[in-house]
Amino acid sequence: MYLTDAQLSRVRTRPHRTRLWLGIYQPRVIFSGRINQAGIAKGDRTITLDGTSGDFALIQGGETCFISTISGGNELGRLRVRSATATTLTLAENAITWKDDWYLTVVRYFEPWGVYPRVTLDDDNDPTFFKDYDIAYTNQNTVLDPVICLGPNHAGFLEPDGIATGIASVWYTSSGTFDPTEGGGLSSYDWHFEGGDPTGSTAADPGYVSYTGCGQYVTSLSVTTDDGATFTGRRHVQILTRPDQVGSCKPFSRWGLRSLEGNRDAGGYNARIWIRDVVDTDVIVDGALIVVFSEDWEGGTSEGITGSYVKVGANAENRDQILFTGYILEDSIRLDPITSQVDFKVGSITQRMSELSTFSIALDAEDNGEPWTVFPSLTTDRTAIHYMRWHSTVLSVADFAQTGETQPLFGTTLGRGNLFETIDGQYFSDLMASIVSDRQGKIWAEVNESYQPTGSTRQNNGHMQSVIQLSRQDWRNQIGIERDPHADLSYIELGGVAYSGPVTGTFNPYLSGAPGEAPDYFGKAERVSGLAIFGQDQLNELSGNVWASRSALYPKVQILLAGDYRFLDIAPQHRVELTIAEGDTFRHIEWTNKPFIPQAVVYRWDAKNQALMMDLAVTEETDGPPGDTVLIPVNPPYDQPIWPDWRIEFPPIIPPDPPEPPVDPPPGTGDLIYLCTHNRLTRTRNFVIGRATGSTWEDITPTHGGSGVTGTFRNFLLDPQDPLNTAYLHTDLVAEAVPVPPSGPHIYRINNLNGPTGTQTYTEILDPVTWDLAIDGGSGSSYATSVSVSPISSNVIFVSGRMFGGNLRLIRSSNGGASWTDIKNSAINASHISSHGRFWASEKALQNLWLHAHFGRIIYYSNSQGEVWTNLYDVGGGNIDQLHFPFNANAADRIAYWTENSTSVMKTDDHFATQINITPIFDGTTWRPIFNNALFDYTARPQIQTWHLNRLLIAMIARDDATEDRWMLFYADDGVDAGFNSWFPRMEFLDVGGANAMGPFLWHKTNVDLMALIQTGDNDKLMLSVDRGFTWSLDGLDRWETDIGTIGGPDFLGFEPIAGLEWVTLA
Amino acid sequence: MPWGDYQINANQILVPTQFRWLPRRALDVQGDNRPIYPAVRSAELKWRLMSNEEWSVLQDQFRSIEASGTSVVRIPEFPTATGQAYAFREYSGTTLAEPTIGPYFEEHPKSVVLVIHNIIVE
Repeated sequence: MYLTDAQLSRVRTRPHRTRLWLGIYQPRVIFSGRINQAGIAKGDRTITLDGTSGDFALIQGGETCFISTISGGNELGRLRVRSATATTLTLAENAITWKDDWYLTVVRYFEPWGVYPRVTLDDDNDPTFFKDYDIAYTNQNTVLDPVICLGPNHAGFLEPDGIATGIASVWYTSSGTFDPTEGGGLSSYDWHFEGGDPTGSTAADPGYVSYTGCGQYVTSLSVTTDDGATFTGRRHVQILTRPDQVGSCKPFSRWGLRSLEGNRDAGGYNARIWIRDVVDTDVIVDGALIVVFSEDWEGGTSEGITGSYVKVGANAENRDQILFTGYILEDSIRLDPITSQVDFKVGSITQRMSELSTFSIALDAEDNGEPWTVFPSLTTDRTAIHYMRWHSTVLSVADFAQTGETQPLFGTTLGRGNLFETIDGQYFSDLMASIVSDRQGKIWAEVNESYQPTGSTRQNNGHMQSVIQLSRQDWRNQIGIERDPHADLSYIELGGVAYSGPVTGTFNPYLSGAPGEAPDYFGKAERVSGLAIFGQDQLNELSGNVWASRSALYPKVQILLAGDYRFLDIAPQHRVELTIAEGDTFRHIEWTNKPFIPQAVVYRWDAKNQALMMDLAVTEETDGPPGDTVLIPVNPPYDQPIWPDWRIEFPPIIPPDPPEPPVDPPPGTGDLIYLCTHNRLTRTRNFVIGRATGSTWEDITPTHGGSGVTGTFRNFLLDPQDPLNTAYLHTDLVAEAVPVPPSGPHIYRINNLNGPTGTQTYTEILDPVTWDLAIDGGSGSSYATSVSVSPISSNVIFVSGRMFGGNLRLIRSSNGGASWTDIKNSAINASHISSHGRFWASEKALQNLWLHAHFGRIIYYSNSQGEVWTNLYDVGGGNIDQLHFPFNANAADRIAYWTENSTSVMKTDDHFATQINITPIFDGTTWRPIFNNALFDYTARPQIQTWHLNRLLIAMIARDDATEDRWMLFYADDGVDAGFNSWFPRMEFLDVGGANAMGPFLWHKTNVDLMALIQTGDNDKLMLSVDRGFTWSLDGLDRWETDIGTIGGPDFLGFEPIAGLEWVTLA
Repeated sequence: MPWGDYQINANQILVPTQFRWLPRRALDVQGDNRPIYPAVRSAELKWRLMSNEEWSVLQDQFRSIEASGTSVVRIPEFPTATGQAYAFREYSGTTLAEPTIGPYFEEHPKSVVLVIHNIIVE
């Protein structure tokens, strides 16, 4: 299609006027009958009929047969006719459950059908392959049938003015017909013009044929090739009178075109049409042929506007008034019962092909022993032609143009599916091509022209000439330009095989990548393989052009055309040049004859104003430099990992029960507290509630002085697991200077601790003999200094102390004291094992243990219940006095606090790897954690206590280093993370009357507000705070001597050992 | 009754009280800012009062082409450069919108309007 200057001038003349008419092909009945076949089986193909009408001799293979329970009906479907006799009708393969007495009606209608091959086996299992049900394979793969083009289906008026006595002239040409056989040609043509004059022709191009009466006709063209292959194409012709004229064949007049859109990506056109005429339900049926034709006027001259003439613009020669042909798509017909309006969709031949299921086939270029699958001259075009010819009837009802690409194929496989996708997919995978139907129903197989080399190759078949140069007078409003600066593809790799054909039979694989070794920044990477190519150069050129096209800067330009420019179509591809002046767009884009290719068309018909407008979408025509050759490695890389077989039966996922929030024990009252001193184990049950009137005390050491307990009370501690009922008491006799019993420690388990006075009993779990009285070291007494019971298990008890001579003694019981194991071993340096070691057992892990030994200088750590020890920290000279682990909120026991040399308070966050001095400095002085380090007081007089209440709280009693008579209770609520600045003075104690007067200091474990503190100075006191240390009440010991017995007056504690002050948490 | 040159399909109709060519509404505007007009025009005939018989003539003409067909109307010619200053002329291929009426005055329809579409004036 090339517009001459005169044509272009006329196209640009305004106004345009168009009247559209709708013709639905209404085939006439050829033959009808009623099934007379008792016991007819499902899927029968040759069916006996009676009561027939019509002439069976007129039946042609490929016509349509309607199936119904009533005469002339079609409600049970339709089948393709194969042949007929006077009494039988042979139909295509089917799976219909036939019933006797059904009606079969054969109409003169040739439509697209799927065709299925068949294979039969004889008695020797030798197969016979049928290309169609009853057409056996002979030489169809080597002698190909011709591809016939005879123009679109047609509809038009008798002229002049559509009167019944008029004449309609229809132009016929076989232009485009070809013989796909390699080296073949066409030898003869045989036209039949049903209802026309002449009635037939043997010319290739008969020209105009006259029709003198209205009707529905079929024109056929049979073409024979040089090799003797003959094939027949058929088209339907509707010759109509105008609605206001006399005649039986008229177009629909009360109808509308809701939409008519074509898109290359969709492969063709789709339309939506409504009809409000009284319509025979036999006419508007699935698969019916639709022809929309037009009467057109262009220009402002009287001659041009009043006289109808042939519109400029269609692919079919002299058929310009055929605007659109298509088929009613399956299940798209809808009836509005209110308006009696019928609405349906119409699709191009390619859309109809999408509704046809097809059979899978495989073809090989070389002999494989199965003649019907051997196709020596195999190319992509021939594959498609073969498939459409023998697996459908498409080539008999539609024109087809091949790509003309001649790359040989070694083999091809077309899968089951729908006919369109199978053919279109094959074209893409071989050639990056596609099939698209034009408006009039011709199928064009084309490679995207932007993928083609420029120059004459791109302009093959002549259709890539510039059709028109569009400028602003040609569009409505503003042109829409999409600009995409980011490439769609960052990289594309194409792979193909050059096959030399079955004669030489060589293969050469090639790879090519574009834009080059360095991909673009934007877009995705794609890979296409399996292309049919001639060689590396062609593949490089293709990859370069594909990349350039997919990365086009202007992928879409939307042009609302100012008139009816229907010579622009989506197929075949052609070039449209755009000229845009600087002021035409807000962005000041300036183009001069920039080439684009139409991609989509939308028609908008305004019937009232007789205006047919077009919207056109075009894409930039591009070409790129050739891509780079990609070397094919000898060993192919695996671009995907080889995954193991993941078919694993996973058990069902059962969500765990939601964790229950931790339940804190109810705060204890703090009323039950034990004080062990002066060889008395005493308790009060009203420590808190009796603070106003004085707490009353009970002595629960019934065997004191008797035979049950020996020695001086040194350590008293509650059992961590059973603090209400069980405790441990350590006594010692240290007077002897030689290792003779009874010298050495005794440890007793106190039972029924909480029972009435006098009911407590003692069980000795360690005696001096077991302690081992062997002399170790120089001289000196043997005694224990520390007893520790694991908070996790009461069976695990540790005792440390010294042997005669002074060296360290460490023992452990794992059975509650029934037996003991020596755990001092070579892991602890012999030179560092001297006297009064003390244990701390972890609350978190049974095996974790800390030991403070070697004159109090070193902290050892064991995570094996004492089997192996590690030296964590050596204070050097001086002593480590106290060691405190805030067990709560202390993951892995990394945090610890301790005091050194009664002068410094220290902290570690990393298990002693680093040490931080947090000694309080306040009121101009340094406050010392002075420790009453009298013998055996190591565990009995704690000065640091912690509590975890969202944050780590810590409290400590310390002495003014200057006056030595002023003490302060310091408090921090951040674990002293900010160093000594974290401390806040909470309570100052003045004139306490002694350098070592304060302690032990207790913090009730379940009631954060309760604190207890003993002052052993001028006037011994057991003080209580119920507000976390702000205020203190005096004093809990007022009645101690009254209740227990006078021992030493107000200063009875003095410097006497306090074996234990234990606050019972749960009471 | 004044029966003039106004005709529909060769049937004379009452001379309207008012006749006018309706202005065309532009379909759109070209990229060079020229309006795009449809090719066809419409004409409007108004009668302030007519008889039932005269109304029936209009109704019959409309019904005759309601579903299909076109009418030949004779109305004052659209003024063109080549046409006469004022003359009646036949236009074929036209369609009729359904005539509308207003309230009755005694027994006569009042404010009758007939619009003729699809008139090719060139």
